Amino acid sequence: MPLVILLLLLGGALGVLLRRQRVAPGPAGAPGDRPLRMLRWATGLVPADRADWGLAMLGELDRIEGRAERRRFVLGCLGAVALLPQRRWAVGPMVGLAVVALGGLAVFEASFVRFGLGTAPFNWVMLGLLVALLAGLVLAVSVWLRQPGVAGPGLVGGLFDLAVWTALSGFTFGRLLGPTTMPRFLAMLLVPSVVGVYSTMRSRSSVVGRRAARLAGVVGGLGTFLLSTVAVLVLHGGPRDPGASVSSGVSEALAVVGMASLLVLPLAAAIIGWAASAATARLRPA
Amino acid sequence: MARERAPSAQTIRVLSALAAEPSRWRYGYELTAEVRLKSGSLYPLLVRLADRGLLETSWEQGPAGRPPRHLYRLTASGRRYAAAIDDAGVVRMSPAAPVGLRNA
Repeated sequence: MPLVILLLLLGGALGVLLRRQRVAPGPAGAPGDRPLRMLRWATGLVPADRADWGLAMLGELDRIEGRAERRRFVLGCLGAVALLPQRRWAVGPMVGLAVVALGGLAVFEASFVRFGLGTAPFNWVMLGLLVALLAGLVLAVSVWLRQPGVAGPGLVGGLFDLAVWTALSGFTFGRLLGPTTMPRFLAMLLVPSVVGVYSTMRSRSSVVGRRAARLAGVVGGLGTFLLSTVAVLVLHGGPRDPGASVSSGVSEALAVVGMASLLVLPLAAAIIGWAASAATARLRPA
Repeated sequence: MARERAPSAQTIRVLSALAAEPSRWRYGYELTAEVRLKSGSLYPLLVRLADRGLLETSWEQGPAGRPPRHLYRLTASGRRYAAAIDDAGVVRMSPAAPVGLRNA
């Protein structure tokens, strides 16, 4: 685990360095206040066929005075960006991923009610954190799926990631819950890198590459979450210390599975994909 | 045959506001204040109305160096739709919009 954290930190630092070298300073005299920065960032997530609505929000913000009122307007717009009607083709994958997320959550909560988590006395805090993570990931997916050039590589990469993980686990629940082996670790590094490099080269945009890598990480994470929670239930927590009860085995495994699938995997994919796409954009500028 | 869903209370409020002065172009921020909807609810609703051909949009160029503003008003279909909703009495059923379109 320390090696994983070290690699993630190094990948993140490399991405930051490469990105800083590429980012040009903003135009002189730009207001650059926080609501405007937030709205510019959010409207950058609006799909191309809805871009005029993002510009409409920016145009309105320009005429709104008062910090509190601007902040309120922008917070609403952040929600609007997430809720803008989906393209027809993106509805299927979105519904599929929502079903996977809800399925994982249902299995997880059923286990939680029966066994609790291995984080007493903070079980409810931990559960709240995991539910918030899950909701955030689904929301992020709904935004990324509408980005041109992001959905295809992101979905394929995520499913490939999941397929590699399950294949390297020998398609058995026992090895899925076992310790991370070197091949699985390498797959965790390679898949987001490939997605980031491919998407950046194809779209000639490191932004697209980063988003595709993040989407792949989240898709893989959600799939792993569902499979792992089912595995925990089926195997009653999987391998555990001698003398440990089933209840403690299940609860500890649930806590590990939740954090690994919903936090570590997506975060690792985001950082690695970020570094890979930034490096690709630097080596092969548009 | 596709069955048309009843419009939401929020949709009715926006239609009501737009139908009050159908020829006048409206700003998004102005509409949020008038119908007391947050921007997070208003914009997705405007997008859906525009997708259905009930709302037309235009741009108003601002002074140099400032972004243009998006403008909205009902199309002819939108006006007919708003009138049909009023005739059906949907507005009176909505607690959020107690005033009929014709009276708005």
